[in-house]
Amino acid sequence: MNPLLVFLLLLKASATSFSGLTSMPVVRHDFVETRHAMTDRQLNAAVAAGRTAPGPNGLYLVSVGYFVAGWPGACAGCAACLVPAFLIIPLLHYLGRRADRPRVKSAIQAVTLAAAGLVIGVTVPLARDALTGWIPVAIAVASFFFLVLTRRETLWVMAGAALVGLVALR
Amino acid sequence: VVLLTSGYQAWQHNAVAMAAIAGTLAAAVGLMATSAWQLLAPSLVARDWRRVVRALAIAGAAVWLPLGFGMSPVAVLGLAAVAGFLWQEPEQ
Repeated sequence: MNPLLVFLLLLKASATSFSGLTSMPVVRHDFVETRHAMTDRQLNAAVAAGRTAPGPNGLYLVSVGYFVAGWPGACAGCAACLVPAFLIIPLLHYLGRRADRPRVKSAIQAVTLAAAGLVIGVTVPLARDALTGWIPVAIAVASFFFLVLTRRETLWVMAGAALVGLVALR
Repeated sequence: VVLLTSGYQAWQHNAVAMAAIAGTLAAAVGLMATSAWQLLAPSLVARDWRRVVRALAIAGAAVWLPLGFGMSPVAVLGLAAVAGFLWQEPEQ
Protein backbone atom coordinates (compact mmCIF):
# COMPACT_ATOMS: atom_id res chain seq x y z
CA MET A 1 0.00 0.00 0.00
CA ASN A 2 1.13 3.56 -0.73
CA PRO A 3 2.61 4.97 2.54
CA LEU A 4 0.99 8.38 1.90
CA LEU A 5 -2.43 6.74 1.66
CA VAL A 6 -1.64 4.72 4.79
CA PHE A 7 -0.72 7.97 6.56
CA LEU A 8 -3.93 9.73 5.48
CA LEU A 9 -6.14 6.79 6.49
CA LEU A 10 -4.40 6.39 9.85
CA LEU A 11 -4.54 10.16 10.38
CA LYS A 12 -8.31 10.02 9.83
CA ALA A 13 -8.54 7.23 12.41
CA SER A 14 -6.28 9.03 14.86
CA ALA A 15 -8.05 12.38 14.44
CA THR A 16 -11.49 10.89 15.09
CA SER A 17 -10.24 9.13 18.23
CA PHE A 18 -10.09 10.59 21.72
CA SER A 19 -9.09 7.54 23.72
CA GLY A 20 -6.76 4.66 22.87
CA LEU A 21 -8.79 2.13 20.95
CA THR A 22 -11.65 4.31 19.74
CA SER A 23 -9.78 4.69 16.44
CA MET A 24 -10.10 0.94 15.87
CA PRO A 25 -13.52 0.97 14.16
CA VAL A 26 -12.21 3.45 11.57
CA VAL A 27 -9.02 1.42 11.08
CA ARG A 28 -10.98 -1.82 10.62
CA HIS A 29 -13.43 -0.17 8.25
CA ASP A 30 -10.65 1.26 6.05
CA PHE A 31 -8.01 -1.50 6.13
CA VAL A 32 -9.97 -4.72 6.73
CA GLU A 33 -13.46 -4.17 5.28
CA THR A 34 -12.91 -1.70 2.44
CA ARG A 35 -9.35 -2.28 1.20
CA HIS A 36 -8.69 -5.83 2.47
CA ALA A 37 -5.12 -4.74 3.23
CA MET A 38 -5.03 -6.71 6.48
CA THR A 39 -6.99 -9.39 8.31
CA ASP A 40 -8.90 -9.26 11.58
CA ARG A 41 -6.15 -11.42 13.13
CA GLN A 42 -3.47 -8.93 12.07
CA LEU A 43 -5.51 -6.05 13.47
CA ASN A 44 -5.84 -7.95 16.73
CA ALA A 45 -2.08 -8.64 16.71
CA ALA A 46 -1.46 -4.93 16.08
CA VAL A 47 -3.53 -4.06 19.16
CA ALA A 48 -1.66 -6.67 21.20
CA ALA A 49 1.72 -5.32 20.01
CA GLY A 50 0.69 -1.71 20.61
CA ARG A 51 -0.50 -2.40 24.13
CA THR A 52 2.51 -4.55 25.06
CA ALA A 53 5.03 -1.84 24.24
CA PRO A 54 5.35 1.20 26.51
CA GLY A 55 3.78 4.41 25.21
CA PRO A 56 0.40 5.87 24.36
CA ASN A 57 -2.61 3.63 23.67
CA GLY A 58 -2.88 4.69 20.03
CA LEU A 59 0.59 3.31 19.30
CA TYR A 60 -0.96 0.25 17.69
CA LEU A 61 -1.38 2.43 14.55
CA VAL A 62 2.39 2.01 14.03
CA SER A 63 1.88 -1.75 13.97
CA VAL A 64 -1.07 -1.41 11.57
CA GLY A 65 1.13 0.70 9.28
CA TYR A 66 3.87 -1.94 9.43
CA PHE A 67 1.44 -4.72 8.56
CA VAL A 68 0.10 -2.94 5.48
CA ALA A 69 3.24 -1.19 4.16
CA GLY A 70 6.36 -2.34 6.03
CA TRP A 71 8.77 0.23 7.48
CA PRO A 72 7.38 3.21 5.48
CA GLY A 73 3.93 2.25 6.79
CA ALA A 74 5.25 2.12 10.36
CA CYS A 75 6.68 5.64 9.93
CA ALA A 76 3.34 6.76 8.49
CA GLY A 77 1.58 5.26 11.53
CA CYS A 78 3.95 7.05 13.88
CA ALA A 79 3.33 10.37 12.12
CA ALA A 80 -0.44 9.76 12.19
CA CYS A 81 -0.22 9.29 15.98
CA LEU A 82 1.67 12.56 16.45
CA VAL A 83 -0.07 15.00 14.09
CA PRO A 84 -3.45 15.21 15.92
CA ALA A 85 -1.59 16.08 19.14
CA PHE A 86 -0.40 19.28 17.44
CA LEU A 87 -3.78 20.00 15.87
CA ILE A 88 -5.52 19.78 19.23
CA ILE A 89 -3.86 23.00 20.49
CA PRO A 90 -5.57 25.41 18.02
CA LEU A 91 -8.75 23.30 18.29
CA LEU A 92 -8.81 23.67 22.08
CA HIS A 93 -8.14 27.38 21.71
CA TYR A 94 -11.20 27.62 19.46
CA LEU A 95 -13.44 25.22 21.40
CA GLY A 96 -12.21 26.10 24.90
CA ARG A 97 -15.06 28.35 26.04
CA ARG A 98 -17.69 26.76 23.81
CA ALA A 99 -17.01 23.29 25.27
CA ASP A 100 -18.72 24.32 28.53
CA ARG A 101 -22.07 24.91 26.85
CA PRO A 102 -24.53 22.16 27.84
CA ARG A 103 -25.43 21.22 24.27
CA VAL A 104 -21.78 20.98 23.20
CA LYS A 105 -20.95 18.91 26.31
CA SER A 106 -23.91 16.67 25.54
CA ALA A 107 -22.76 16.22 21.92
CA ILE A 108 -19.22 15.30 23.03
CA GLN A 109 -20.64 12.84 25.54
CA ALA A 110 -22.84 11.25 22.86
CA VAL A 111 -19.80 10.85 20.59
CA THR A 112 -18.01 9.10 23.47
CA LEU A 113 -20.94 6.69 23.89
CA ALA A 114 -21.10 6.05 20.15
CA ALA A 115 -17.35 5.34 20.11
CA ALA A 116 -17.89 2.75 22.85
CA GLY A 117 -20.64 1.15 20.74
CA LEU A 118 -18.37 1.11 17.68
CA VAL A 119 -15.57 -0.52 19.69
CA ILE A 120 -18.04 -3.22 20.83
CA GLY A 121 -19.08 -3.73 17.20
CA VAL A 122 -15.43 -4.21 16.16
CA THR A 123 -14.58 -6.44 19.12
CA VAL A 124 -17.15 -9.07 18.05
CA PRO A 125 -15.45 -10.16 14.77
CA LEU A 126 -12.00 -9.99 16.36
CA ALA A 127 -13.23 -12.10 19.28
CA ARG A 128 -14.74 -14.61 16.86
CA ASP A 129 -11.29 -15.00 15.30
CA ALA A 130 -9.20 -15.05 18.49
CA LEU A 131 -11.40 -16.89 21.00
CA THR A 132 -11.36 -20.38 19.58
CA GLY A 133 -11.65 -22.38 22.80
CA TRP A 134 -12.45 -22.04 26.46
CA ILE A 135 -8.87 -21.11 27.44
CA PRO A 136 -8.70 -18.02 25.16
CA VAL A 137 -12.19 -17.06 26.38
CA ALA A 138 -10.99 -17.38 29.98
CA ILE A 139 -7.90 -15.26 29.18
CA ALA A 140 -10.09 -12.55 27.59
CA VAL A 141 -12.53 -12.51 30.52
CA ALA A 142 -9.70 -12.49 33.09
CA SER A 143 -7.96 -9.63 31.20
CA PHE A 144 -11.18 -7.62 31.16
CA PHE A 145 -11.80 -7.97 34.90
CA PHE A 146 -8.13 -7.49 35.79
CA LEU A 147 -7.97 -4.20 33.90
CA VAL A 148 -11.35 -2.92 35.06
CA LEU A 149 -10.73 -3.76 38.71
CA THR A 150 -7.03 -2.99 39.09
CA ARG A 151 -6.22 -0.47 36.32
CA ARG A 152 -2.68 -1.88 36.14
CA GLU A 153 -0.41 -1.57 33.10
CA THR A 154 -1.57 -3.62 30.12
CA LEU A 155 1.99 -4.91 29.74
CA TRP A 156 1.40 -7.24 32.73
CA VAL A 157 -1.83 -8.52 31.22
CA MET A 158 -0.08 -9.27 27.94
CA ALA A 159 2.87 -10.95 29.66
CA GLY A 160 0.53 -13.06 31.80
CA ALA A 161 -1.61 -13.98 28.78
CA ALA A 162 1.47 -15.03 26.79
CA LEU A 163 2.61 -17.20 29.71
CA VAL A 164 -0.81 -18.83 30.09
CA GLY A 165 -0.89 -19.36 26.32
CA LEU A 166 2.53 -21.02 26.41
CA VAL A 167 1.50 -23.39 29.19
CA ALA A 168 -2.10 -24.14 28.20
CA LEU A 169 -2.36 -23.68 24.41
CA ARG A 170 0.71 -25.64 23.19
CA VAL B 1 6.05 -1.90 18.44
CA VAL B 2 7.67 -2.64 15.07
CA LEU B 3 9.89 -5.30 16.67
CA LEU B 4 6.86 -6.98 18.24
CA THR B 5 4.94 -6.80 14.96
CA SER B 6 7.81 -8.19 12.91
CA GLY B 7 8.26 -10.87 15.61
CA TYR B 8 4.62 -11.84 15.14
CA GLN B 9 5.12 -12.11 11.37
CA ALA B 10 8.35 -14.09 11.74
CA TRP B 11 7.08 -16.55 14.36
CA GLN B 12 3.53 -17.09 13.18
CA HIS B 13 4.47 -20.56 11.89
CA ASN B 14 6.27 -21.57 15.08
CA ALA B 15 3.95 -23.63 17.30
CA VAL B 16 5.50 -22.52 20.62
CA ALA B 17 5.48 -18.83 19.70
CA MET B 18 1.93 -19.15 18.34
CA ALA B 19 0.74 -20.50 21.71
CA ALA B 20 2.06 -17.35 23.42
CA ILE B 21 0.69 -15.14 20.63
CA ALA B 22 -2.74 -16.80 20.89
CA GLY B 23 -2.74 -15.89 24.59
CA THR B 24 -1.94 -12.24 23.84
CA LEU B 25 -4.56 -12.09 21.06
CA ALA B 26 -7.18 -13.32 23.53
CA ALA B 27 -6.01 -10.72 26.06
CA ALA B 28 -6.28 -8.03 23.35
CA VAL B 29 -9.98 -8.87 23.02
CA GLY B 30 -10.29 -8.30 26.77
CA LEU B 31 -8.49 -4.96 26.33
CA MET B 32 -10.96 -3.84 23.67
CA ALA B 33 -13.89 -4.78 25.89
CA THR B 34 -12.25 -2.84 28.74
CA SER B 35 -11.83 0.17 26.47
CA ALA B 36 -15.56 0.12 25.60
CA TRP B 37 -16.56 -0.41 29.23
CA GLN B 38 -14.46 2.52 30.47
CA LEU B 39 -16.28 4.83 28.07
CA LEU B 40 -19.73 3.45 28.89
CA ALA B 41 -19.42 2.87 32.63
CA PRO B 42 -19.89 6.48 33.86
CA SER B 43 -23.29 6.61 32.13
CA LEU B 44 -24.37 3.04 32.88
CA VAL B 45 -23.73 3.22 36.61
CA ALA B 46 -25.60 6.55 36.90
CA ARG B 47 -28.54 6.56 39.30
CA ASP B 48 -30.68 8.49 36.85
CA TRP B 49 -32.43 5.94 34.60
CA ARG B 50 -32.77 8.54 31.83
CA ARG B 51 -28.97 8.74 31.53
CA VAL B 52 -28.77 4.95 31.36
CA VAL B 53 -31.46 4.79 28.64
CA ARG B 54 -29.75 7.54 26.64
CA ALA B 55 -26.37 5.80 26.92
CA LEU B 56 -27.79 2.43 25.87
CA ALA B 57 -29.72 3.98 22.97
CA ILE B 58 -26.69 5.84 21.57
CA ALA B 59 -24.19 3.01 22.10
CA GLY B 60 -26.70 0.44 20.79
CA ALA B 61 -27.33 2.52 17.67
CA ALA B 62 -23.55 2.78 17.13
CA VAL B 63 -23.28 -1.02 17.22
CA TRP B 64 -26.29 -1.50 14.96
CA LEU B 65 -25.90 1.21 12.28
CA PRO B 66 -22.67 -0.14 10.72
CA LEU B 67 -24.05 -3.69 10.76
CA GLY B 68 -27.56 -2.90 9.55
CA PHE B 69 -26.91 -0.04 7.13
CA GLY B 70 -23.19 -0.36 6.39
CA MET B 71 -22.66 3.12 7.80
CA SER B 72 -19.01 4.17 8.22
CA PRO B 73 -17.71 4.77 11.76
CA VAL B 74 -17.01 8.46 11.01
CA ALA B 75 -20.63 8.92 9.87
CA VAL B 76 -21.84 7.19 13.04
CA LEU B 77 -19.75 9.54 15.19
CA GLY B 78 -21.10 12.55 13.28
CA LEU B 79 -24.66 11.33 13.72
CA ALA B 80 -24.00 10.78 17.43
CA ALA B 81 -22.77 14.38 17.76
CA VAL B 82 -26.00 15.66 16.19
CA ALA B 83 -28.11 13.32 18.34
CA GLY B 84 -26.25 14.43 21.46
CA PHE B 85 -26.70 18.08 20.54
CA LEU B 86 -30.45 17.60 20.17
CA TRP B 87 -31.00 15.02 22.95
CA GLN B 88 -29.26 16.55 25.93
CA GLU B 89 -27.99 14.48 28.81
CA PRO B 90 -30.31 14.92 31.85
CA GLU B 91 -28.87 17.05 34.64
CA GLN B 92 -27.45 15.11 37.59
